[in-house]
Amino acid sequence: MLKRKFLTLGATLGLVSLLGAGSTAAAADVRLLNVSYDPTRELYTQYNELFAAKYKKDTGNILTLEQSHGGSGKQARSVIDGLNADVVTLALGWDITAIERAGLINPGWEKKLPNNASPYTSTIAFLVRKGNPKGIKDWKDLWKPGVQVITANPKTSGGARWVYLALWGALANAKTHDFSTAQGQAEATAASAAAKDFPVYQNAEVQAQIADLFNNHVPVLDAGARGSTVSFAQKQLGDVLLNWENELWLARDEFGPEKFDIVYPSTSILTEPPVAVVDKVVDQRGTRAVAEAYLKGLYSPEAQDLAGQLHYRPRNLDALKKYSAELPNIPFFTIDETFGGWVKAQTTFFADGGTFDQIYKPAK
Amino acid sequence: MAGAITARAPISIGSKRAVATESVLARRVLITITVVFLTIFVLVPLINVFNQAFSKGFEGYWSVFFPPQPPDDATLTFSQKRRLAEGAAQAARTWSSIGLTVAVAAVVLPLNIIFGLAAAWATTKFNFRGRALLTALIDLPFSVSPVVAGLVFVLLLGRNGILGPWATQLVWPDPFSLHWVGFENGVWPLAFGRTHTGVIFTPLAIVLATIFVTFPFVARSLTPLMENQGTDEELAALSLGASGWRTFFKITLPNVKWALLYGVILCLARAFGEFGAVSVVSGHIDVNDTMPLRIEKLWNEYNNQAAFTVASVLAFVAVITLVAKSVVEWKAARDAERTN
Amino acid sequence: MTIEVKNISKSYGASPVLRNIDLKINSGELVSLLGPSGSGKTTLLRIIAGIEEADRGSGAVVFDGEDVSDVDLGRRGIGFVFQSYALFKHLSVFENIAFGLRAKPRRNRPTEAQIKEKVQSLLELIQLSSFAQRYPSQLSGGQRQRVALARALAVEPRVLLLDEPFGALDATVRRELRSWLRHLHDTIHVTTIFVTHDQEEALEVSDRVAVMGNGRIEQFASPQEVYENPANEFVFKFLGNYNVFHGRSGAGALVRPHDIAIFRTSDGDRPDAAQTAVVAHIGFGGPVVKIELESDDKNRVDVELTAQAYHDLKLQRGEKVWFAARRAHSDFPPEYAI
Ligand SMILES: Nc1ncnc2c1ncn2[C@@H]1O[C@H](COP(=O)(O)OP(=O)(O)O)[C@@H](O)[C@H]1O
Ligand SMILES: [Mg+2]
Repeated sequence: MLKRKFLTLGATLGLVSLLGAGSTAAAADVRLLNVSYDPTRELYTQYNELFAAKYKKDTGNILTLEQSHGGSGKQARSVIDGLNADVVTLALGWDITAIERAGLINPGWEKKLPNNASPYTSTIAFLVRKGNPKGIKDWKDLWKPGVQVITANPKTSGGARWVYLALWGALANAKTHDFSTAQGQAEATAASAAAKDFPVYQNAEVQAQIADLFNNHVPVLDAGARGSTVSFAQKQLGDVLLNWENELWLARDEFGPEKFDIVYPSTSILTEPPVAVVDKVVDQRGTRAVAEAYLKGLYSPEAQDLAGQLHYRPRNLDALKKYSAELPNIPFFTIDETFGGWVKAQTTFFADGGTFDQIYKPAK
Repeated sequence: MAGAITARAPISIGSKRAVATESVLARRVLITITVVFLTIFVLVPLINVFNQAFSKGFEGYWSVFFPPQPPDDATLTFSQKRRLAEGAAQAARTWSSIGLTVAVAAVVLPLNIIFGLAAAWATTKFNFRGRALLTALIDLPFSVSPVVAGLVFVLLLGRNGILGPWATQLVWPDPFSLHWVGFENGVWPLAFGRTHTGVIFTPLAIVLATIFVTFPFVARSLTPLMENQGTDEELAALSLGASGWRTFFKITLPNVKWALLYGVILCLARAFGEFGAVSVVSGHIDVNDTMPLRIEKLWNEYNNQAAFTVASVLAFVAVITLVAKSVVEWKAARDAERTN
Repeated sequence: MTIEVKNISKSYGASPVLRNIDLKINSGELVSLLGPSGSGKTTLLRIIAGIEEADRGSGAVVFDGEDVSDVDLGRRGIGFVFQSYALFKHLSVFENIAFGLRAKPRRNRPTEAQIKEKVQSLLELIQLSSFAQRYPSQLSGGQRQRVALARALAVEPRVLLLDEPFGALDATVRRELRSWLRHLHDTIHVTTIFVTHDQEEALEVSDRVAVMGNGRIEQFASPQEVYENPANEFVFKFLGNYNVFHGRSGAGALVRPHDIAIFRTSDGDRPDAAQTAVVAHIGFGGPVVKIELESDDKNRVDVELTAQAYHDLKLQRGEKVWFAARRAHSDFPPEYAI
């Protein structure tokens, strides 16, 4: 009786191992998981199609690309917890640093790809209601009496952290560069490398102004960048939305250009969403080559053009020029030159007990 | 008496008596409150779901699942092409979410039936130390927030979890990728199209999370009935020389079939509709989307009509569930009457 | 088949339910386990059946000289009839009775035709031939009980175990079934143990009666023996009504109501010990008339007369009479005094 049970068990195990052996036959088909943040879904859906076609042409094999989108910080957390991302394409460097600190990405990832490993950039601009009834043209207009500002919570949203840095840098008159020319870009790179001390952090006046803005002009802080867009566009809250440029364009496309105007301030921050290969995962899965090719491909002319179409600012100057009507050139300051990079900005401003916690006193 | 199912009978008898003794005014007020409440919280949202789903007409509804195909010779502008490609990609994701939802339910259901029967059997027909604790544990998922449940799985099976070192290395074939490859590679003609590595953030985690939130249903709908029926019939069958299996399939199972079906329906409804626990363990990967997760993503992409269209499918499933549940309740009550 | 219960004990937690039970039942005997509720009758029956296990190391159940203590319920060759009938609700009467036959291992399972024949003959035996296709819910209590019996008999058990088989039935049906069971046993002669708390039932039906009290077998003897020579006060008291007479010595004498004789005041031949009393109530119960007397010291005395004796005496309510015990029990060992 018992013997028969063991026989059955053995047969089952044999069957399973046979099936397992069979599965190696299909190993030529490769899968790659790109873990990204919320707004990039359309960008990567289209880039994936582009890249998979190229891969098929080059190797004859099928590449299946999988996407995961969510809040940038949450996504990083998932990767740390075991989400097997081959590549991460997140909203800000801090989130990739967090994965690096968990031992999954080797240090120096920023230098593995051109332009601080961010193949496209964006900026922070304004979305206002059609005709701009409150006359909001630049940063200082946000403090006009009665103006209500919609943005997300910097504690939870990557986009909102960029908003916060943009505000701070603009108020502190951070040094800007012309990113529409190779010369300007080179200058910015050199300036970042040379930057030693960062006086913006000591600017008490700016801190007081920002405290005033968050405490007296911001009616609600959504958890995510997308949530703040919904608050502004769908729930009709506030007079001006501060958000990613590409997010503003998407809202304008979705809800109709007759409803909203996009306003560019005189200067803003160059937001640089970085990308990286998750070393530990690709080494385990044997996907390093294709993962690296995937990220490198983001710098190809086709991908750069795609980014421009979808309102990201291409690094490639020709592509940038092609879309300059929709992505007007304004002077940008950088996080590296102005704030000394993400680690410094994160620990000073957004960590628990940082300046944001000190200034933001939500109405009881 | 069929436990959970006909336990309703005394309740409705009680309420009838209550109505008779309350004043007419109190009765009207209570009925009005109930009707208003149900209208606001059930009827209006339900109607709204279908209203939004059909806000772009029947064609709009249809195109969520079957995006329009342009004729081959059509010349399209870039933005038209872009919209078509986007529509096709969205529909593919929606279908994938429907497939996964059904697949997860198909895996979870038999496991829950086995578990539910075992648990109900153990807690009603045996007397052992810790029985009360076991009964309480079976109810645990009802009192734990699904999100917390999901996080517990992440903490347990995640890279830094207690079982992490083992779980993250686990390679398992996707049973739904089994396909015919012929005899070229040997005697075995089937192969898996893909394997997964790890547990958390894979469909396996979705299955686990769904099991967690659904396992009480079968056990709970069986327990009162089995308690009520005692063990005499089983003992009679055993004393007549029937084997344990025969006793189970010929005596126990027929006796509880309606309660079992009732539990199955509740379990299916929950498996289809679960969001919180599944969301946490899905890793937001598109291929891990079940229908509720898909709805949220469509909503976040401003694709309200499509979100409500998928939601309307779930609502439709819910209505079917409701009807099936009523039929089963009615059948069970009838059977119970026959027994007494 | 003979059944031996050797030194069986059983306790639930700390409370003992059976204490060192010994019982030897002869082949073909019909034995009843008689005792008040909670005395452990069901527990003993279930241990014999193999449903319940005796305390570890406590003793053995032996069938025909073979220790069956470790044999499964289904392999002991018993037919068990539950107090609740435990009929299979979802199966017809026919299928209920056929269940045990269909459950037999393939090699000695009867053919469909044989099953049919067997079930038919059992249906005839229980006089329910026309009810084969009914469901249990469509039967009366007595019919259900008979189906339960037929179901148990279908597998031709070596022993028939019945747990209060008529407990839930009304008096008439009980009496009918009781004699039916007696006749059935006379025809099939299978060793039968029968649990009941009804003295009359036990005494009427069984070959021998095991009187149980408090987890022990107080007496195991023929009905006549237990009734006429109760082993102890417990058995005496359990088997019927009684009066307690306190003699001048102070010791109580126990007297059955039918062991009391009543004499008219005018009768000259009354015994010397006769006392006087007043007739307080007269109850007509068919063949037996129950008289309630009130003695001079205001005690109630129950007396049972045959209808004939009552008729001869022509007693009237309120009348003064003499009474005396024809037979008293007063020699029980003291430990059994209740
Ligand atoms: N499963 C059980 N758990 C605890 N006590 C029990 C159990 N079954 C019976 N008993 C106790 O054992 C005693 C004898 O029960 P039982 O054999 O059913 O008596 P009877 O059949 O003579 O009425 C009773 O006091 C009863 O409460
Ligand atoms: Mg009993």
